[in-house]
Amino acid sequence: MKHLLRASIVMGVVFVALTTFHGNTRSAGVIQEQAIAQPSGGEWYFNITDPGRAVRMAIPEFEIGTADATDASQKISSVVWNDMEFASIYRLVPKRNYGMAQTSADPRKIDFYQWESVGADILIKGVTEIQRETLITEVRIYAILAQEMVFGKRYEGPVTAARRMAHRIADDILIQAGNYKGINQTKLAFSSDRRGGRSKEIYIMDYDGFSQKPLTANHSLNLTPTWSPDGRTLAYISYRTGTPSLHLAHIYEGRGELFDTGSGMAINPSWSPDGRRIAFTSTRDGNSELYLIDADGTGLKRLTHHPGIDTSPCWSPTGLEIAFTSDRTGAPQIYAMDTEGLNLRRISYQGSYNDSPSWSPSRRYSELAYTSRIERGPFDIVVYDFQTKQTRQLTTGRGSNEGPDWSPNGLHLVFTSSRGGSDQIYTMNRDGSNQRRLTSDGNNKTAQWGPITGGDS
Amino acid sequence: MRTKLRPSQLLAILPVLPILVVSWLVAGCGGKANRPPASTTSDPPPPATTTVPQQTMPEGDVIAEDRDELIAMDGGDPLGIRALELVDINLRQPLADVPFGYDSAVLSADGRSTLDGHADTLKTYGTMTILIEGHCDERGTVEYNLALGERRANAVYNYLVSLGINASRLKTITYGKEFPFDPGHNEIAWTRNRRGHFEITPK
Repeated sequence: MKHLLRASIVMGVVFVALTTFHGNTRSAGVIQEQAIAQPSGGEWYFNITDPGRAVRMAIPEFEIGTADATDASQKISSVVWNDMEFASIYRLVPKRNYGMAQTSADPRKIDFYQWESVGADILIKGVTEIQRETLITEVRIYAILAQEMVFGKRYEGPVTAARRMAHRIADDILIQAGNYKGINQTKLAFSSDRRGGRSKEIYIMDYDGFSQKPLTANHSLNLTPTWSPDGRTLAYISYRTGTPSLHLAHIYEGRGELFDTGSGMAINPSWSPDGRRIAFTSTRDGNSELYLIDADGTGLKRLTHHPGIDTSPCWSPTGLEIAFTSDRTGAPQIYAMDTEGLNLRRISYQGSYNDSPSWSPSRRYSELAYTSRIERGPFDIVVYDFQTKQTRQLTTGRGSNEGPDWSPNGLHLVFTSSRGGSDQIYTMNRDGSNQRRLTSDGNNKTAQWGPITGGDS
Repeated sequence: MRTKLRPSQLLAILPVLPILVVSWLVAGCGGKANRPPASTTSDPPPPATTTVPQQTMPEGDVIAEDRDELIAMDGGDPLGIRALELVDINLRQPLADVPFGYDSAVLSADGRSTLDGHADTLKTYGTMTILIEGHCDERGTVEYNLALGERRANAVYNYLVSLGINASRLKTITYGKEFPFDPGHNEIAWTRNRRGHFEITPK
């Protein structure tokens, strides 16, 4: 094992500079924010009259503060609306209903009774302007029943940062109005063959499918990226050395390196929640077994000892357990064990073929998503609930649906589906609703949802 | 992007396998003859100085589909041994694929028989090195199929080694379901795509 201790070899991986990812994280591009004083610091509430009813939110078009901010204002309005719709936390009151409520002589004056009559519990008001080359948006959240402003913030950033500013606003609305940890500023990493030929490169995009950018450009086969918990590094499989092996991409440094795990192929990496270790599959001892290795390339540890295939590791949110796939009973099924390789137990009993587990990071729900083939049918995404021991099916029968990965708040999943004739990346809610296609260029798959990193920083 | 050959084309080029391999071996050694021992084959390759197409290309319809390309490649070369590139040789699949069953890495009787033939070829051309690729059909996941493809390649590797082929001449790689031979979405395509595939590699 000694040769594993040597430092990873820096490889000349060609990286496409992610200027817009990084360029905005330093002083020139940063979005700054400042609280707007609340009129009252007291308790507030949105809807207590009927606890069973969905809380309803109205988001009128943001005001255009200066004429040159028209495009930015419209974009921010539409992105915030889309983000709130995706979050599926609130019922959005359709804009056509706003009528009387927003035709006030003074736009800053809120007619709470009118908003109550259109059915809004929460009102989001925004105004966008450009001053001295700076994009400025002020956002206020009002509790209609309580008739007060409960949150206000002023955002400043580069004129080109409208979309990012909107995602940030949406995350603030979710945390302030409902204590939900939004994923609107998160990114997805995936593998795409859109450049043509036999190459598949790693790409990154926003959670809503915008801003798709290539990360690798080595004209080889690059698959199954996994995020470091700080969102700054991806580990993935690359064939660029001739053997499938693990590589690291330091996203914001534009630097890649071979991650040396010794002899044999190394595939299907999964980064531990604390960032210290990577679980992966290797054939270094003769057949596919699971291993752990420290993120600095030391401390290799073998976890499984079975002549069958053991692969596709994923971490529990506590980092104490690992779910994986094994065909030790004849067909691939999902198992779990602790990080010593002990306390092994089988999770999946339904389906003739189960793989690619993803453990929900949620503290509220204890569940595991994976790809399942029901008897001899197609492949679909299912979720196993550890408390009820029940499995629910989220996709049904349209093409092959596979490779689920949870959003960092455990409320959504990203997956790959061939329902439209080619492999494309989709997102959905944890109950299978709200399925949206994010990609269309070439074939795209093995998407992994990046962490919440707190936006700029 | 390589053009894929139809099965009929594959069958058609089987008789020219010795030509392809020999011409490549010759060229690969800078013109120096590198003939395998004649005793190991009932169909010894021609001497290196022979004009390959004239001497060994069989007559008849069976080769017709390839004639244009072979002639074109040899054009202007008096010796006619300007070699096919390795990529062209591999395009003709001189070593046929070995099939596998669904979610299986077990060699069938047919598969073993095909490999017996490959072992003979490898013994005949004693310096040939090959890459064994394990492939899967599109059903199932990226992750598991990578492991399954590795196991298929390994099954082929182990069988060839058991037949006396030196392990140093064999390398394995898995491509999982990433490079299907047949892009279809049906049983015929899946059967073709579950395979051990062979590429002759540079020495």
